Parts: sequence; structure tokens; C-alpha cells
Amino acid sequence: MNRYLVPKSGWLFLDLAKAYGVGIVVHILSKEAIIFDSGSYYEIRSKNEMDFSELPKIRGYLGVDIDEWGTVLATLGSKTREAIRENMNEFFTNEDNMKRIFRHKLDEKTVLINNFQGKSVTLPQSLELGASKGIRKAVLSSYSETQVKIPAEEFYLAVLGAINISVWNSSKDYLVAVYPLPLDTRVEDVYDIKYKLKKSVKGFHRAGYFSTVARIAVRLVKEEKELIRGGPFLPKIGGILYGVMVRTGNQPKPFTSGLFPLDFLHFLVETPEGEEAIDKWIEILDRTSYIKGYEDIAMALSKFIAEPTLENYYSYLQLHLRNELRSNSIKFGSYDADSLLEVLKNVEVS
Amino acid sequence: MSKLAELFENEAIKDFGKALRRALRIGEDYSSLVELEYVESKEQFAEVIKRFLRRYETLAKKGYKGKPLTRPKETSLVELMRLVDEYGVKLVRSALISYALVKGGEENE
Repeated sequence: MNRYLVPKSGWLFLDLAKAYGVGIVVHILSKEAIIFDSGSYYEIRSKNEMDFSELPKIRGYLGVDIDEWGTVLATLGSKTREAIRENMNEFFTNEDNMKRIFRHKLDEKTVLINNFQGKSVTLPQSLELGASKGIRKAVLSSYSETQVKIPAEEFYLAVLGAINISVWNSSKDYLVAVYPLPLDTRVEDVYDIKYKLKKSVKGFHRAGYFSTVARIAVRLVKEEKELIRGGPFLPKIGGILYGVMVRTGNQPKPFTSGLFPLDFLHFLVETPEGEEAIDKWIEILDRTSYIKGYEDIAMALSKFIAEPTLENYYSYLQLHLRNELRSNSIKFGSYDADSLLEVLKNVEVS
Repeated sequence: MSKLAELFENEAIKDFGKALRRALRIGEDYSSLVELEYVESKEQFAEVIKRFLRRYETLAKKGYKGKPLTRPKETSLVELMRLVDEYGVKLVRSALISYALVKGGEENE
């Protein structure tokens, strides 16, 4: 088994995007790439050797039609984005460049991806949503925020991963990005999930970014289930890393970021009864995303899905029930007893 | 299994939970729901259940589609209060109200 190790730098989004970028390259060149998070680095595995003559196929992952160029590089102008896209096409189709990236062998089958020697480029904020504007100098009297620079090869790999793997939704005020965290996952599966989510989750939820992320999370778990062809369910995505940018008069700025856990949803999706509850939540989150007046239910449900505590369950229960009893409201319906029991099995009681 | 799921499966909770659902869906007894939401102690809980049963009695006599409604059993009442001692008001209340969000005909089942 060939192993490609991508060491983490501590920049959550950049590290993950870069690992997916390496994963896409390995997938193209060896027709297989399985990615997982092993703590201090991401590991990409493939049982096949890389065939560099396949490099031109990478153009399919750098097409001008990919919408995410505009969001992943949201802080840059369109001309700069196009220049980056052209540079990336040139870089990734050059065999010498690619061989250099995969040159640092730890042993015959293990490659460490850290051989970056090119010029430095500025890391755009939209590519590292967990970061602040820059790095402050330690001495307050000479306060300034300098831009973060990273090697161009690293930047290109991260952009390749980000535009092909992250899902973005936006409103007039916010942009929200989600990155699935791999859990021994085939890169092509993550890629498929991303495109299915893009089709099924349109728009920004009225209740805000958290409900937007929750809406993506419930759909994502259903897509994960679809990937299991026979046999027991095994999660493919460990969680969702999300980042939010707020639009300003000029360029958008990082607003907040976090991790949306999927453990509760994974527990539910294992059984048909639990899956029924997820289907109901998909319906609730979809319908409330565009109808005014149901933001409270969507928000309470999103919080409950992320953190299934008794308090969060009770808040959601009250709001859902009151809505059912109101005469002039849109009804979301009741649960089957078995379905609700599956939900309650996982409610944490302190 | 969580404590809440254990309670949800308890026969006494089922018995009272279904009665609460009928009271809400047929009798529009929103007072019992609101009172339950504000309960904090066992004594308050007992008082709210007492008032709920009084209102429910009127509804049960009136019936639904020509048939009288099933009343919660006395043994369920004793068990319900024991559960409050064991699990606390918040958990028992959540399990009870959960039944109001469970599908089922409003008639007896």
C-alpha cells in the first residue's frame, strides 16, 4: 500500500483542503485514494502506483465552470482568480512539478508531502476560515497585522481540494462553507457527496448559518448511507468543519468557524426508525429555510441535532408541539413512536 | 439506552402520555401543557396531574366520535409519581410531553 502523508500545520481549513488536494492528485494518477485523519497528519492511501501520464486529466478538476472559485477565493478579484486558475493548470500538468511534490520518500512506500520550494503567496482569508486577518506583532507599540504567506505549491494543492470538496451557501450577509472531515474515506466518495449536496441543499437558511450547516449535515448523512452497498453502516465522514464569512462593503471577512458533530445522526441512520426521524428533520429544515416565521423551530432543531442534550430536546419539543397545535401554522407532523424512541435513546441526560 | 428512552417506554408514561395527547388534540387542553412546562417540584407536578385528570374526566365522559375515551389507570398514577421520585420532574415531563408528538389516532388505542 502506498502512503502519502500530509503533515498538519494547525490551520484547520488549509490542512484539510491541502490533504484533499493531494487526495485528488493521487486519485487521478493511481485511480484510488483513501484519506483519513491520523492526528498529526492526514494520510492518503492507494494500492496502485502513480502514473504521471494521467496528469492532463487534472484539468477536469480545475475547470472555469466550477462555482467554488468565486467563494474559495472570495477575497480576491476575478482577474487574480483567473490568473491563479491558469497558474494552477500549468503547475499541475507539469510532470516535473508533480514529481517534486512526491519526492520526499520516508521509505519505499511512504511519501511525506512537504517538499515545497516555490515562491511564497498570500494565504487568502477565505481559504482559512478559522484564521484572523493576519498575525499580530508581539510588541503593541508597533501594532500591525501582516499577511500570512505560504509556499505556492501548498496554496495550489489547498485550492484544488477546496474548490472540489467544500460546499458553500450564501445569503446577502453571509457565506458559509462546509468541509467534510474524512474517516477512512475514498476521495471520489467525498467528491460525489459534495455534488449531491450542492444539488439538494440550495440557498441559505432563514434561521442563519447554524441551521444552514445542520441542513447540510442531515442530507450528508443520508448520502453517506447511500454509499453503503449492503452490509452494516459505517460512517465515512467524521464531522463537518464549517466556516462563516460576513460580507462587508469591500471583501468578505471571516466571521466564525466550528465543528458540527455527526455522531448523533450516524447513530440514527443505522436503523430504519432512526432514518425516518432524519427524513422528518430534512423536511423541517428544508421547509423552514424559505418560509418566514419558523426560524425558532429550525434553530432549536439544529442545536438539538448538534448537541442532543435534554435541554435542547425539550426546547425543540416545545416549539414543534406548539406549532402543531397552532391553528394557522404549517404543520410538520408527528413522529412514529418507534422513530421518536430511537431519537430519545441518544438524548444525553446530565 | 438513555434514561429518557427508558421512561418513554414505561407503561405508566405511555398511559398518561397518550391521555395527554388526546387531551391536547381532541379537548384542546392547552392549560395542562402550559402548567406542565412550568412545573419544578414533585408537589407542583402532583397538583398539575390532579388538575389534568379533572379536565380529562370531562373530556372522557364527552367521548370522541360517540365513544368514551380511556382514562389513565390508577396504577399508572402511582407509578408516575414513583418515577418522579426516581428520575426527577424534568425527565418525566419530557417523556410525557413527547407522546403529544407521537402519531396515533385520537381515539383510544
